[in-house]
Amino acid sequence: MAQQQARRTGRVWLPAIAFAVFAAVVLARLVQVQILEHDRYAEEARSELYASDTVFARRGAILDRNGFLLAMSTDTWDLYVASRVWNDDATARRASEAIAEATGHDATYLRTLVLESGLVDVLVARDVPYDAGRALLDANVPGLIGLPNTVRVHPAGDLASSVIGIMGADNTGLTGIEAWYDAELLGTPGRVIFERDTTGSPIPYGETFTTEAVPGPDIILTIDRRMQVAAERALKQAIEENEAVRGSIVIMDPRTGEILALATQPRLSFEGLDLSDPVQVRLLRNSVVSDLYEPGSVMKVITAAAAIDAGFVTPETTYEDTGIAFVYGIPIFNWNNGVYGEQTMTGVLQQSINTGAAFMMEELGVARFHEYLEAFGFGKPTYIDLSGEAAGLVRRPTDSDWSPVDAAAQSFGQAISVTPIQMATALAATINGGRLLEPRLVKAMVAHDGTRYDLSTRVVGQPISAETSATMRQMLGAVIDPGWYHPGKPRYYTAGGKSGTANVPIDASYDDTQIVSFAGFAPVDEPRVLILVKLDENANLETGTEAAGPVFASLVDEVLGYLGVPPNVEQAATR
Amino acid sequence: MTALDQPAPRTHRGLSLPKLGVSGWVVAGALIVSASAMAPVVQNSLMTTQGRNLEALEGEQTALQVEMRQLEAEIARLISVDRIARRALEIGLVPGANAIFVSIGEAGPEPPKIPAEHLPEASEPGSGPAP
Repeated sequence: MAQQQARRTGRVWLPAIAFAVFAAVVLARLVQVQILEHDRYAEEARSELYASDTVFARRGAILDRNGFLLAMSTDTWDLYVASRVWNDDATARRASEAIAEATGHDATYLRTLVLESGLVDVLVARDVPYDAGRALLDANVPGLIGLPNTVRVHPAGDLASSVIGIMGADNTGLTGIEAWYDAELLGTPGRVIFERDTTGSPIPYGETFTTEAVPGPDIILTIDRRMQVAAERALKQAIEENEAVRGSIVIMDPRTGEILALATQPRLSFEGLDLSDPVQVRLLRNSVVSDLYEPGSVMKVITAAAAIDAGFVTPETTYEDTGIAFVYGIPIFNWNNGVYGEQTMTGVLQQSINTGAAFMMEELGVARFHEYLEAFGFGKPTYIDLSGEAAGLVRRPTDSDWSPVDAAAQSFGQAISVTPIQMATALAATINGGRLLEPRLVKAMVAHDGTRYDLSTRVVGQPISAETSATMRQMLGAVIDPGWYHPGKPRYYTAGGKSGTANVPIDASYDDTQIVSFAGFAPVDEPRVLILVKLDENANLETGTEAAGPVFASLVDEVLGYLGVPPNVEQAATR
Repeated sequence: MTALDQPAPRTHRGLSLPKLGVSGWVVAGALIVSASAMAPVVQNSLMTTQGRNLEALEGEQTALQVEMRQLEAEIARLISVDRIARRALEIGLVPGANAIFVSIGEAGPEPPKIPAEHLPEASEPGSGPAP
């Protein structure tokens, strides 16, 4: 049987060619993907494969100079609900009741909030305590999402609240130290880049690149909590006794410019702060650095220091007080219309004689007097580390509204406006050897690894000589110890100081509304503290000596005793 | 010396494969392939388990850190001056009216020793010790 041979045909090449074309296309595509556009596809693959997250740094704590906590952050949760999960009524009811029980909200309110918001994830509770939030999350409440957050707590209550300041909901400082040192306290956020699975969760043992978050340093204030308590208590009591509207106390170390206590009343309260209330909003401003006042007779200290330093007078220089002095034809009277006759410059301070201060200014001359005001830092900020500091107002001869009598008025503390911190800083310079220091509230910072950075004292000027400063200490000591009863005399320590009583200027004139103050230091020979007490609008109309002097005296005894300074006067001294 | 000229005796024979039939080799190959296939599964499973353990430990660490911070805040609250003063009044203490200062000839107790790295840097000349 003859075998039939298949006829040769070219059709067999058709599939071969088709396969070859297909292979060529695939090969070309591979070349395009793997070689020509390799980088682009590799980048796309990476972006699909990797995800990143920000790791927020812990905010630094705020401590007093001895390491006691005044403000710190504790952990909380911000709770969100994925609104789509609550589309089912039964689920929404069950979940909302669980959240309501833990957060104290109303379940119906929560359901309305979530379902009517129109958002994908709805914030239902902020700063839920950590344990309560953790329990809710562990209970797998449907739709519940927890984001870790922190809240600022103040273990010492409202102590030094006007110094510490408040935080916003976004964990940034709004006032006080929290605001001034916000960048430092915040720390440096970290970043984690990780391989993720299809749900977006990190793959265990996948590649991870981490930049660690660096917690913010702890800030150690110059404030001493014991002195702060003493100052706040004394101020509150003084305001009540003198029926004052408000007041402030500054306790400073005159050798370093460190603020040991800074009290203001009324005081800002951390709890229940309502920023829609204008009265509470005003409390956010620290009156010690923001509010201006005419210092009154406390300014005579600066006038005397300038006149002595320039060599125009000495403490023993005398002049004749007739109870009235004419400056460019305008009469100037003493505070009580008194006539004191022949007086030394020390006597001028002891009796607080306005005409005597004008005499010293005239001896000095307006130009030199203003040079000294400038050197003592009036009319410009002290650059204390608190926001909202006012520069003060000093009318100068070059100003359009200058009156020739202004310099005389300035010599006894009128026609000039200062902040309490400015006055305290200038007075510190008169008694600390003549060094004008930058006042400060922060002593050191401690990084998370324990490294401590101490901030040093900054001398910004030398308005008077060390000799003049020593003379001023003795003169001011004689003011408080004049040989007769003085309400500002401490029981256990020598002290120096000066009172001020200034009427509040209203529409270019004065009425009975007054601001009284007393600024002093102790002990006289080696001052350890400078204390400024200021009471605003005291309805009992007592003078600075009568209203603020006793507060100064009792604070000196309390504070120096606390500092372990041995008493240097007879303990039997009466007050 | 003559011993060196003699070849060393053979101590063992070369590696010899077990005598398996064709089916034996097929079964062995299948086992190897199966084991190779299972290895990544087992490895993955172990990794997942360890990943979960790690996650749990990290959670525990976070919880402990949170607790530590809560305790710090609680301690700070308990030693606040206000609370101590309130407690002192509760137990009948009253503020001292007349402080009496006594000078004694003996040196006081030595202050607690603070490690040098925790001490502030030396203050500027003339500024004196801080209180």
